[in-house]
Amino acid sequence: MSSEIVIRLTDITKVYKTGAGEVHALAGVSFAVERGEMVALMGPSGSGKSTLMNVLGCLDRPTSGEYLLEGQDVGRMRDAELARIRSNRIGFVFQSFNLLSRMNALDNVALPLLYSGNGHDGRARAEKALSEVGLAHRASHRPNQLSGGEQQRVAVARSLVNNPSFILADEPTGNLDTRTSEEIMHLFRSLQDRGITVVVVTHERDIAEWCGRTIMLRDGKLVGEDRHPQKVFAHEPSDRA
Amino acid sequence: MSPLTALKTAYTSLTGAKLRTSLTILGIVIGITSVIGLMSVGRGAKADITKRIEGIGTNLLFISPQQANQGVARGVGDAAALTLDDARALADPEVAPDVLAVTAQVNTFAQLIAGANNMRAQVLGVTPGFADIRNYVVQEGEFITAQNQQSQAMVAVIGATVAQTLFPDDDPLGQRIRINNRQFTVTGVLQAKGGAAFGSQDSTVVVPLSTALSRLQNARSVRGSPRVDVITIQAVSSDAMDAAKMQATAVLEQEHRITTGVSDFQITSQQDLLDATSQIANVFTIVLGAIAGISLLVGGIGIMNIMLVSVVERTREIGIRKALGAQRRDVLVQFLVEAMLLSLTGGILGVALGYAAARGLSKLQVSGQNLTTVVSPDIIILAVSVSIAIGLFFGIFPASRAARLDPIECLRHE
Repeated sequence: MSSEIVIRLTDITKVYKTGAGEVHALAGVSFAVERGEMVALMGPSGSGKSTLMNVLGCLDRPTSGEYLLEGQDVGRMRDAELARIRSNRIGFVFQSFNLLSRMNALDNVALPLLYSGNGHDGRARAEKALSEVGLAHRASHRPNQLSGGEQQRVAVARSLVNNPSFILADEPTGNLDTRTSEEIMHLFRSLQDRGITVVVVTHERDIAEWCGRTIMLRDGKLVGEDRHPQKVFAHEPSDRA
Repeated sequence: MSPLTALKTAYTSLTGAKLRTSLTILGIVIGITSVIGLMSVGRGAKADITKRIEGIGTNLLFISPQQANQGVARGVGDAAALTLDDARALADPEVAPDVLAVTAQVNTFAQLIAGANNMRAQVLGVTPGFADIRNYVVQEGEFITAQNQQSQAMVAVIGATVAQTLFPDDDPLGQRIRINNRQFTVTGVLQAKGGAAFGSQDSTVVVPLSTALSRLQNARSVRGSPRVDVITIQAVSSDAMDAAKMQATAVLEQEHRITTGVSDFQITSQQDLLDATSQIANVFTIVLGAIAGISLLVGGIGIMNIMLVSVVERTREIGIRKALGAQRRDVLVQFLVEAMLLSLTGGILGVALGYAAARGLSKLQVSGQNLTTVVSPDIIILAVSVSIAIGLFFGIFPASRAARLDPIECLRHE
């Protein structure tokens, strides 16, 4: 694996001003993620995990510190530029899937192409992404016709469709049962094997074990970093249909 | 996002809530329908009036007496008057070369009796040239002849309505008719023209001017020549209207010895009549359109209301789209296109329905004849552009509200 740095955070802070005063959600966080790594971001509620995820996902700007995404300083960008970064460089996977219910699976996967300017071969790209997660046969199904695991696979396909710099998964297994969770984590592992960088935000140790490295967050600070062997799929792949 | 994609996206989300979408569209449909329907009545009234005025004749100037209230008083009893001599003077091609034809008339109302039937009607005493100048077409018999005029013949040409009222069963030709208790013979019946404006010729009786002057009224001016009520001039062409008017003014000022610049007559052209009535009809149309516009406004507010609700409902969708890279502009366009699609659909349906409404209204009988309605292309273009404008105007606020939402807040929204 190369040692190219995808994400480099240096002394990131985030301060919210509330009625009761200032809240230091992030109090100086620094770490880096290399290309092809699969990293877990762990921490209890209130640890600043969500704030960090918003900063990583370019949904929010840090109050201070430097965020380099593939060497580009994205910490000071304007909203429109951030939107462009989200569109082209980041693939989001959410806990509650966040598929648009009126669209079928294929259209959901193709949705980011509307905004990225990669729409010219959109259908082919979306079909490819959908077959990469093993759901080519469900392309015309709507989210409510799919199981939770299938919906999350569609979401993963959607995150892949613009060839992002990294995938940011926020509690991707939070709404899934254990077995389906393992399938989704296995899917992320297979993406990692293809050289795709994955950051998983979770509060479950089981899930973090799938990653090669766990970053622990508490009270807005990094409190530990742990490299460990990655868990492998314990079961035979289930029947995906 | 390409326009086609934006349209497709808007279509998908609008068809996702069919009932709501159709009710919102209905508001605009009703608005546009009433605008088109009511404006077609206004335009129809204008077209109707124009047609009638043009039907009076072509290139006409109407001269009527006007009391000179200002200027030098010329003696007691010298009321302003037009005389038969004035008409003769105007007919002189030497002094008024742009005047093609002249006719003088006296107007009076009289009681008509024929057998057991009677009615009141306008009686016109006219010169023989009147029929050509004023487009009076004789259906049966003949119009007033020069011979009639010369001999002060007791003959009358009657309008279609008069014929029907006085002689419901018989052929009126050759029948006796009493006008103000004097016996006349019917020598002609006018073709029915329809319309009630400008003293419909259908309920008019025409007699020779000489007869009218000597038998029905007896008024002479101080200058000795018989008084007439209206002199109608036909100009040689529509381009010569102004010249004819100037020549007529000069002739009459000389005849009436006017030196003060205050004339005792008034010359009104057909165009003046058209202008005056068109102006009234235009105001009428605008008032009707404005009343209908209120319902359009209500429809527009309906769109805004629904779009605002829709933005709240779809907060999460907005968050997802933004997280996936949608710019503010993309979200703005998405909601704006939805609003405009709503209003444009309503507009197009409204145009169709408005057209049908105009057709329906034209079947209505108003004072004995069908209401005239006109749906002109400019009204349709106006209605469609207004509906697009409504979508823009009432869509921009909800859309910009959606565009400004913070994606993090949106994604938290349940």
